[in-house]
Amino acid sequence: MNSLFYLMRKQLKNIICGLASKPLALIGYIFIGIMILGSMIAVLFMPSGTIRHGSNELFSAIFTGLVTVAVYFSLKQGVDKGSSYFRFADVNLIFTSPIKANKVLLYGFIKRIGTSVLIVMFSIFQLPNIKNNFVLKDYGVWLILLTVLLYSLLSQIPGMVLYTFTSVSNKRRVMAKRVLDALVLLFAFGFLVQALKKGNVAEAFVQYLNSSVFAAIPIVGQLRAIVAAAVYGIDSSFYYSIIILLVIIAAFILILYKTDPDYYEDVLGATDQMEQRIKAKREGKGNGINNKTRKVKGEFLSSGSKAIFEKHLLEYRKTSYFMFFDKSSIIIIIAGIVFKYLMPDGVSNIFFILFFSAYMLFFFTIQGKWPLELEKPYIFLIPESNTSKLIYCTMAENIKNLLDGTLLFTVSYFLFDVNPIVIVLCIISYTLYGAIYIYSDVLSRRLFGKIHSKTMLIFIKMFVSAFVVLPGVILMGVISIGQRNMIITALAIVAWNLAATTILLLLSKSVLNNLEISQ
Amino acid sequence: MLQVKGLSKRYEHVMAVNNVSFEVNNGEIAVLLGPNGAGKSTTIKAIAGLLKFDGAIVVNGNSNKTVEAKKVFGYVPEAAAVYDYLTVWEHMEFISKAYRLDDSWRENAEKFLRRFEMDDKKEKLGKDLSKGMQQKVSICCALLINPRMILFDEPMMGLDPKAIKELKNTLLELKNSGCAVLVSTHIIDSIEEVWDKVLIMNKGKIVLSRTRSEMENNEESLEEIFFAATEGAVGA
Repeated sequence: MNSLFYLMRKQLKNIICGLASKPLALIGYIFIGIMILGSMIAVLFMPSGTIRHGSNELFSAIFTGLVTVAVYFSLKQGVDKGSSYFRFADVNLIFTSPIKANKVLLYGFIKRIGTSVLIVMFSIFQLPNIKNNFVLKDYGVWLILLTVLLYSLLSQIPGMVLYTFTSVSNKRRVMAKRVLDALVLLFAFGFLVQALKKGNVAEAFVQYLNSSVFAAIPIVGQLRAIVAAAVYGIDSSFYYSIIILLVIIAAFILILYKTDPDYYEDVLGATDQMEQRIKAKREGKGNGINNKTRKVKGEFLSSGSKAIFEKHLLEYRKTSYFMFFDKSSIIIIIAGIVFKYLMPDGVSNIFFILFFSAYMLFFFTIQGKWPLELEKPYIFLIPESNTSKLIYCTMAENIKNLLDGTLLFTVSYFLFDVNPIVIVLCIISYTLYGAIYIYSDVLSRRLFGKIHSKTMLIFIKMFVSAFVVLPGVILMGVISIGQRNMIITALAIVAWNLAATTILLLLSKSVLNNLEISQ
Repeated sequence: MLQVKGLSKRYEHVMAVNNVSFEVNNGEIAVLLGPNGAGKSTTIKAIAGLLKFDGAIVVNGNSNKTVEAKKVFGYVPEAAAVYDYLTVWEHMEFISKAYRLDDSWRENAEKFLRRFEMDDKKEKLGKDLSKGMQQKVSICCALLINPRMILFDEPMMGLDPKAIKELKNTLLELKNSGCAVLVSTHIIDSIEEVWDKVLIMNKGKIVLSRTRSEMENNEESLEEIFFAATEGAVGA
């Protein structure tokens, strides 16, 4: 075990020492740390339920729903591929070394605690939202963080244990899949019955997820009891749940060790998948495990830079559901609609949907197609002008944003009683937000050069984008206070975004001359 | 065809390439040879226009970052460059359109794919190819533009013996057609039979430059001069 502790100690030390030699990264991490600390202090002192007093049942239902879905996916992943605490370096160096398998498992678990603490730290950013919408007890914030920590520690274990049972034979795997599918159907049926009885989907959702059925599900029931104490207060079930969860962790690890001391083979597939995911994330490609492609016969009709645009069209046709309509389109539309219902009545306004979807669009844009071109040499090599290459390289994404925006705001038209002209202006604004993110990304790369840390890169892009976007939002706010005409308010934001996009595009046009391949 | 004058490239605190100058003429195969970290790949990438640098790089009389220069040179990167969601044939089609090639590209693409045994993989997606196959696609893409100067960065990595043999034959054919060829490698054996000029790099500098005839006249072997140069016994 000494060697494993040595490994952990040295890796931690090298990460810290590495930061000292990269002042920009160090400043960035200090800044993130200050933001986390600031959020934590703010959330501890801010009053609870300032936007609205969401019911305790709704609070409990939301967390129960989230944990149930997360446990389901952990089990599903367990049946398909297993789960893993390990990286390839562990597989190659530690699995092959003369260290006992149970110690290696413990090492993996300790490493996971480190990751869990990071997840807890980043979940602090979501706490103000929760505290604004629900009335928490004084210690409620700490209980939510404890739930996140416990879930994060537990999340891999059910998948690992299930895999040890299902990987033995295909028959077992099929059976486990069927049991999982049957459970999903059973829960869906239960919800349907509840919804028909209540006649109201939202009420049925709250009541169903608060039912005793969920309290009986291992892990889900205990996590629900712990997090519910944040609004209901601590009682005996809180302490029992913590004890039961600790017993579950111990029991799972024991089962894993006793039933499958030769678990190395079982975690290889999951380690491989995790490695792909980490690589994809580092390269800003989402989860990177999109293996589903449609067979599409493509033909290039245009020459020069336009061929880059046609290539993107072809790639979209292969990977999306229809034209540019893919997973991100669905997420943005559903999130926009859900956001409408989460806003308290009277406050809800189509511009909030615009801002919320524009916020989400930022994260989809940084995973877009154009940055991927910088990882291949062709964009630099193609003998065409840099301006035309940049325009055609970003065109497909701009068109996708226009189509996604059209879908989102067409749906919003039916949710809000607004003038169609406002809808058209919102579509244009949304598309221009996309363009601002794309071209401020281009400009960030020109200004800050090659930054190896993807997290740092995202923060820089976020600040550059915010710097460009915020004056427009403030301008809109000022105009909307002066006069209540929604068309003029929407026009103000379109005008700002259009001006910002034009300036950014002009500043970025010869950027390919100053960029370097990001391999 | 290729003139590199006073090329320097710094990465943060490391001077990866330090004031390097050399030329590669038409119909000449020049080899950048050196240990790991010598600056070979950085030199090649700078010539390909993928990096910012100090100094001057001229291809066929034009600065390497101009459209005119880009029309005439091909580049095979160290890490194979293929698009995940394009098939092998779509890569050929994309390059032909992006470089505005004439209709003969189809015939050439078929020829190169057949040569590197990729003709039966035309419908495979880039992401479904092995590393070696991806490298073959990269090579075919670079050859397709009918280059007058071509850069190969560690081209043999991941290739099977048949492909290595074909690549060596291709290098000789390129040379005979008047193409200037620059190959970077750290494996001496891989280019022993084909090179005309060797540029040995170490710690970001060219520490020795020899033509094949100079070396033969001195009765030296490539391996001998490589170790002597990288261990400091021979001057440029």
